[in-house]
Order: sequence, then C-alpha cells, then structure tokens
Amino acid sequence: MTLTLDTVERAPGGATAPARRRRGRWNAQAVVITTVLWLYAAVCVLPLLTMILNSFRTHLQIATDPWPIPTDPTLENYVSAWADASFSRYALNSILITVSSVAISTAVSLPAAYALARWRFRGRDALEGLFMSGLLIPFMLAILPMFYLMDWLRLIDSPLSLILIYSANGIPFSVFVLVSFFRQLPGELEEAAFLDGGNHFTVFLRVMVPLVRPAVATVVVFRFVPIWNDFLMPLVMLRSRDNYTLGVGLTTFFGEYQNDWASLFAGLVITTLPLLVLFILATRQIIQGLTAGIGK
Amino acid sequence: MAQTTKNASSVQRAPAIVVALFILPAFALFAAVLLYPMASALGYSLFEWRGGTNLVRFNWFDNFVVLFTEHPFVEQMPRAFLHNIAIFAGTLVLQNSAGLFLAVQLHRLGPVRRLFQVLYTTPYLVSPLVVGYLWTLLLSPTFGPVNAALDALGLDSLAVSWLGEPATALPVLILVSVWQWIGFPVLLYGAALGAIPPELNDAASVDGAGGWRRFRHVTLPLLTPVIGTVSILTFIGAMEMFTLPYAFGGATGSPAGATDVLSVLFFRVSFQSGASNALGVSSALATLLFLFILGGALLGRRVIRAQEEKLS
Amino acid sequence: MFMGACGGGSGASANEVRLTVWTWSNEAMNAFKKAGIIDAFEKTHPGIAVEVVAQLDKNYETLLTTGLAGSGSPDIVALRSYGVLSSFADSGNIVPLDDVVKDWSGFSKPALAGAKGKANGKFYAVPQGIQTAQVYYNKKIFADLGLAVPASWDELIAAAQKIKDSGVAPIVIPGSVAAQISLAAEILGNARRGAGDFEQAFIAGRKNLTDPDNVAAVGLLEQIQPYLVDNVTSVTLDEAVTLFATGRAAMFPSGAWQVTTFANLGAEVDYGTFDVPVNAEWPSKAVTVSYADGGWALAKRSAHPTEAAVLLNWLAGAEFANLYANAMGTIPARDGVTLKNPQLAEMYQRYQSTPSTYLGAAYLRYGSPSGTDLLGEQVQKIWLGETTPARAAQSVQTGVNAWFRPADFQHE
Repeated sequence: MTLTLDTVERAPGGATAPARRRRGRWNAQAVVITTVLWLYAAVCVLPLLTMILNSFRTHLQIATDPWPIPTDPTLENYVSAWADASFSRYALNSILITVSSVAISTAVSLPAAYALARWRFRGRDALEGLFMSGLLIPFMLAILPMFYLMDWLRLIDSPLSLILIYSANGIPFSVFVLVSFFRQLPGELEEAAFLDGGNHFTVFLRVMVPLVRPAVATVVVFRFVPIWNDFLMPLVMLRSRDNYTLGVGLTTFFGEYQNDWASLFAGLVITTLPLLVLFILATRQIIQGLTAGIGK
Repeated sequence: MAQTTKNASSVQRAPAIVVALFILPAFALFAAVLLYPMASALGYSLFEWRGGTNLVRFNWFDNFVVLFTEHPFVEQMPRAFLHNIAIFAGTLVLQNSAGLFLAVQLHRLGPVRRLFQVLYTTPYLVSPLVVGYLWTLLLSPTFGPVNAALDALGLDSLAVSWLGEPATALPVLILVSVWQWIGFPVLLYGAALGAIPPELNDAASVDGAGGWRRFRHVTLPLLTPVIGTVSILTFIGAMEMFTLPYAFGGATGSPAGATDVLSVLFFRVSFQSGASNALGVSSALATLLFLFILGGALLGRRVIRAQEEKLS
Repeated sequence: MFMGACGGGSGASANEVRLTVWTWSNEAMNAFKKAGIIDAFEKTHPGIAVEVVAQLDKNYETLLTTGLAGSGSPDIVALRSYGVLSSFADSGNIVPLDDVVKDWSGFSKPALAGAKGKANGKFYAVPQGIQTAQVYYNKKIFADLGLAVPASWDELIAAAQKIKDSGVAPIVIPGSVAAQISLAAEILGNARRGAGDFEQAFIAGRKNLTDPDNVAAVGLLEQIQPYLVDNVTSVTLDEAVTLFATGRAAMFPSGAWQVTTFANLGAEVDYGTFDVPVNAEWPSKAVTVSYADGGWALAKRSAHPTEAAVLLNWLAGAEFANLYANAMGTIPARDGVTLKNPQLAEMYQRYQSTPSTYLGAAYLRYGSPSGTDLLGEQVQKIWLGETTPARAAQSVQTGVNAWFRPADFQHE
C-alpha cells in the first residue's frame, strides 16, 4: 500500500483543470484505440473466415484463388468430411478424452499449486522446479518411452492411455500458471477464513479456489485446445478406427502428394466449432470469476 | 529473507501429511506418466542405437561429440539456435507489449471485452496442422490476397515474397506465432488486471496520477508475477517451436535454412533420417535443448522471484 | 464360402484372420479400398480379411517406430525404399523376406535395389512401384508458340526464352520444398552428370559430388534461373501443380505421380512429358530418372505371420501389380503389367529402355544429414545468390561425408 502512495506524485493545486484537458485528449485517443482493437480483431478472424469460406468451395477454386466469396457454394465437402472421416464417432471420443484429461489434470494441479504457492516446506523449490521441467522436453522425444510405458500397462488401443498422458502432460502447465495466481492473493483472506474456524481443506476449497476461477478457466481453455486438436498421440497409441479422435480424423485428408483441402476445411469447421462454443462459455466464466472475486 | 509480517506463519505452514495430500496426486501422475518416460528419453542420448530401437551399447557422450564436431551439425546447430533465440526475443517483446496493451485496453472496455477476448483467441483454436498452411495461402506472392491487397493499394514495393526470402521469412514466422498465441497473454493479463483491487487505482487517481503514471507505478508492479509466467512460457514455446516453422519451411527451414530451428533439426535427424543411430543423436540434441531451456527457465524464475520480493 | 466374401469383412466369421496393413499414403489406401484390390484378395483367399490403414505421411516413420515395437503391431507395413527401409531392417522389427516370398524373378533390378537392407543385402520388402521423373510440358503453350519437344538442352533453353518472351513462366519448380528441388535437379542434371557411369564411379569411390560433371549438373539449375516462375523459393508443391495445371507455367519437372494429381485437381490441361534432352558434348545420352518407391515389409510382431506371408506373396504377384499400378498411377516394379493411362504407359516405356537411378534417393538418404535435403537447401542458396554450383556441390559432399561410405553399397 505504502509503495503506491509514495511513488505517485501529488498534482499540485487542484486536479480539475488538467483533468478536463486530459479528458478531451482521451476521446480522440479512445477512437484510435477502438479502431486498433477492431482492426486487430479483423486480422484474428481472417483464418476462421478463410476456413469457412473455403469449406464451401472446390479444391481447384481454393488453389487458384484462396480468399474470395464462394461463387457457387457447395456442401459437398461437408458431406464427404462427415462420411469419409466418420466425424460423428470421432467427436464422441474427442469429448470423452479431452474432458476427462482436462478435468483430471486441473483437479490434481489445483491443490498442488496451492501448496507450492502458499506454504513453506522443505524441498518446495526443488519440487516446483521438477514440475516445471515437465514443460521443457520436446514432446516428440518422449513418444517412444511413453509408448513402451503404455504397452507395459496394456493400454495400447485404449482411450485410457491418452487420458493418462494428456492429464499428466497438463500438470506442469497448470501448476505453473496456477502457482503464480495463488501467490498473488493477499494473505488476509486465508487468515480470516481460519479465524472463522476453517481448516486447510475448507479454506482451500471454499475461499482460495473460487478466487482463482479466472485462472482456472484460462488453464482449462489452454489445455483443452491442444488436446482437442492433437493427432500424433492418438496415432501412436490407438489402433482401431472406432477409437480415433477428431484430430486424427483431420489427418485422413492429408495425402502423400496432394491434400484434400476442400474436405479438410469442412472438417476443420466441424472440429473448431465446439472449441469456439467452449471458449465463449469459458470467457463468461472468467468474467464472472472476476466480478465475484476480490471486489469484496 | 524478507518475511512479510502480514502473513501469519500458521497460514504459511501446514502439517506434512496435509502437504503430501495436496501434492501427491499431481506428483504421482506427473512422475509416472511424464517424468519417467522423459528421463528415459534423455538417457537414450548416452547409447548407440541401431535401426531406431535396437540398443547396441553405452557410448558415453559420443552422440554429443558428433553434434559438436561433425559437419553439418557444427553449422546447423548454432544457426538453428540463433533462430530460436531471435524467435524468443521477437515474441517476448511483442507479446508483452502488444499483449499487455490489448489486455489493458480491453480491461477498460467493460463487458464488450468478452467479444474481443473471443476474437483474439480464435487463431489459437484452429488446428496447428493448418495454421501454417493458411498463412502460406494468404501470403503467397502468386495467389495470395495479402500481396493482391498491397498491389491494389499501390504498395507494390511491399508485396514481397514473404516466405521465399530469408530476410522476411523469420520475421513472418515470429509475427504469425504471436498472432496465434496472443490470446493467452491477453486473457492471462486480463485475469490479473481484474484481480487488482480497484481501491489501489482509485487511491492513485484521487492523488491525481495520470493514466500512464498510474499504470507504470500501480498496475505494472502488480502484474510482475504474471508477466514473468508469460515470459517463461514464451521462452519455452520459442525454444521448442516446431509445427509452424515446419509448415513454413519444411524439414530444411526453407528458404536456404532461414527458418531452421532446433526442433526441425531434431525432426531431420530423428526417425525419418534413415540413419541407423538416429535415436542416439536426436536424443543428444534434445537433451542439449532441454538443458538449455532448463537453465534459461530457472534463471528467469530467479529474476521474477527477485522482482516479487522487491514488491512485497 | 464363396458368398461370405461379398461382405468385404463385415461378415467376419469366428475363425477369420484379420490382417492390418499400414501405409503412409492415403492415395494407396484409397486404391486398395476403392479399386477393388482388397476384394480381389479376399475373394481368392477366404479366411483372411485385410484392413489397410493410412497413417499420417509426415510422421509415418515415427509412428512405425512405435507401432512395430510393441503390442498391437500391424502385420504388413509399407516402407519407403532405401535408407528408411534399411534402418528399419537394422532394428530387427521387420523380417527378411528372401525365403518368405517365393518368386522374386518378375521384379526389375532397380526396384529390388531399394528393398535391400544395407547391412546384409537381404530383401526386406516386396517392391511396391517405381517413380519415374521427367519434364511435363503444356502442349497448348508449345503449339501456340510453334515449339516442338526440344531435342537438346540448348533447344530447351531456347524454347524457354521464347515462352518467357510470350509472357508465360517457362519452368515451375516447387522451390520451397527441399526434396522437390532435389528431384527437379536430378531430372535436369542426371544425364549431364553422366547417368549410370557416374553412379558406378560414385559407389566405387572413384568420383564424388565435387566432380566437374556433377558441378556442371548443379550448374544447370543456375542456368535455368531466368526462366523460373517468379519468387520460386516460395513456391509450394500445391502451387507448382496449380501453376502448371492452369497454364501459368509451361514446363514442370516432376514425378510420375503428377498424372494422378493433375486428374484429381480437375483442371483440364493438355500435357505431354519428355526426358531432359542432352547436348552432344554431354557424357551421357538422355535418360529416364527413376527410383524405387516403397515396398511391403513383414512385421516381426505380426500375430498372423503365416497369413501375412500369404498376402505378401500375393502382393508380389502380377495380379496385384496390375491392379495397384493402374489404381495408383505408378510405374510397376515388376513385369507382366499393362498400364491403361497413356501418359504413364509412355513413361513406363521410356523407363524400360533408358533407366537411370536417382542418385540422391538411392544412396544419399541412409544417414543424417540427407543428401537430398542438403542439395535442396544449396540450390535455394544458388537462386538467392548466396552460393555457386561448385560450392553447393562441395557443401553437399562435405555433409554426407559424415556417414556416406561407398563400400556399404558393394554387396551386389
């Protein structure tokens, strides 16, 4: 607190006159900033738009002119994507695998991050470093030993292998992000909760976790997306087509010499839409978390 | 050690059994399914292999010696390394300036910010399999709309062969990567901004502090931990980047190695290389990368800790 | 028992054996399924069902490394010829086929060369097919300008100049993809380098890539630079195909697979093909550049090795070769095949009379760095003005010196 007051200089002689001038400049500035925000938003939706537009066009049209309005739109691509790649079946698998993996990794990471952030104990720094090291290894390198491990567990061709891998793989990232948020919280809250008769578990669950809800939502989104889109691990661990995920479904449009871009774009729209919905829901969660949060 | 007086020590400590209960589930899963395979993968670098998975013998550090003494590793490894560093520097600056700028502006907007947050994160939602391809389409000097638009605006001189020139390929790679990931810092900074008690800013306003000054002296210090988190994750992401450079430059970092990075080099020397000892040499490369990132990340964490201590 | 076969696997009986075949090629999987190849096998082999699975091309070797190393192993896997195949042979996860497959006599020598393990010279795969590489040209553009198929390299350059003057890009090369550049370089330069004579000298250790003839061959890439499409180092394979198929580029040095690609793209381009013509003073006559394009290997951990052997023998026969080569649009690896597509038939004919090995594919992909990757990068540097043909050739040689030993290839 004191830091803030010390470093901010007091404006001498009343704040009204400079404030008005500042407000006038602020309006022009606001227009510029709003323009920038919208322009950048346009740059961001460009790929989504390209994807959607191209999903209604033929391969040749895409190749010769990648970004126009479809002249004679076709639904052919969606038909073939849905049929060739059995997307309905894959979607169910993707939901099962992604939801359970994210749920597990978040559920175990929250208490661990809390303990690492708020409590002092021997070996804490080393443990935190160990968790962090999990972020550092190129995933491609670990494919072979992971395959051996899952083979030893007799989980090849089982969705459980993917759930285990993704949950474990999510822990370093989740812990890393959540620790920094738990650490940021003021200590008075815990103290008050303890005085009200709480114990470590109730304080954690009832007081601290709700406070980091925006961070949890962020972690969930940023873990959900790569798992949803992953194609390599399912290809390594799964054998039967019935167990494939949407990410793998997309790879069926990649050929040796030629990719079926038209169907691929349709497949992409199908796989990306659920993510968009999830994300819109999650940002609401983030906002709610913020308003319900520290504002006491 | 600057023990803050506000935090009662009873809150800072918990019985060992409670600590274990909190940490063990995560640690057990992490250790068994991630740490153990990764440790063995690093161990692979100390062996000679035949045909991918056939262990021949323990050969100490021979695989590392190859990387440091044999052509083309002696040229390609430093080159790839410098590209990774350039990518890190570029993304770090852009994510922490543009990302922070966007987050702060959105924070002022009120509920509309949700729309922008969604829009800014859409690039992240698209499968990385095709993000690179989409930009190759958009930036193509022959068919792409970007150069067509520049031509139409009379800016022909700017309509260059973005991914065909060594001078522009790496900057484009950095920009697209930032574009793809910026939703993460925007959201994370947004969440952190929301966690700053409004009284702090109010107090500063009452004292007449202007926008920039308030930001510099009130907001920024409180964001330090999150900025640190984003920076370290940026570092790791930049050092391990694979999908995007591979989509742009293929296995050789086209054009003429300008987009070659360590993970692409790893890909080149691993299983598809046709080399019998591919596993040994590629693991040695990955181990070096790991050690470097570990050093960098630990250093980064130390810096952030120092900043945090200064603040409390 | 005859009726059960119609279901194509859906009516699997209790004692039916199901074989899994992996390939990196979606095109191959589709050929198996849609061109009736699986049906043809299952009809004559009751009790064995076949499932062909295409894995992602880019990560195929990684997926094979794990796939062959543990449980749930596929029974038969497609492997890229030469280095990759040889490396998997070293792993012991695929087995030698010398005694498994009864009859090898139908296969051509170049096809078999790509199916050998380098360590012991045994066959580890049933050859799948051959790729020939040649120059595609747009017949309409040539006719409009009164150009005939060039009879010498100088004529080719003259034709290119005329095409350029007319406002069309004379030559397109997928200049952003190292492997494609290397292939194009081979199409243009194989004869200039000395074709088969150079190959013999090269694996005998008498000549290497710094030989003046090879430098001159690499120099052809520099010579054609004025006639390449704009911004060639940014051109992807897709773009190259589109440029040629839509008549925006007149010549395209590439592999036989493009016949199918052009057809799939749906652009109606009237094209022909030729082998690069030679000048009188060159060390070789015109040749058809070719390389072995994969083969079928038997997984050590196959749960049904007996049935897999039955399938492999069928894959080695003329019935399959006919079905596969025509469905895939590839040059057959064995005799007894009639190609229905006239373009491919023409390539096949030229290949039978004047084949010459793609040096980079056949010898320079057994280690890291791969010679073809290095060459692709060096040629880009030539085009970007960063190096000369002599330095480029030297650089590739220095790179492959890390692992290339001519003696490894002498157990014929």
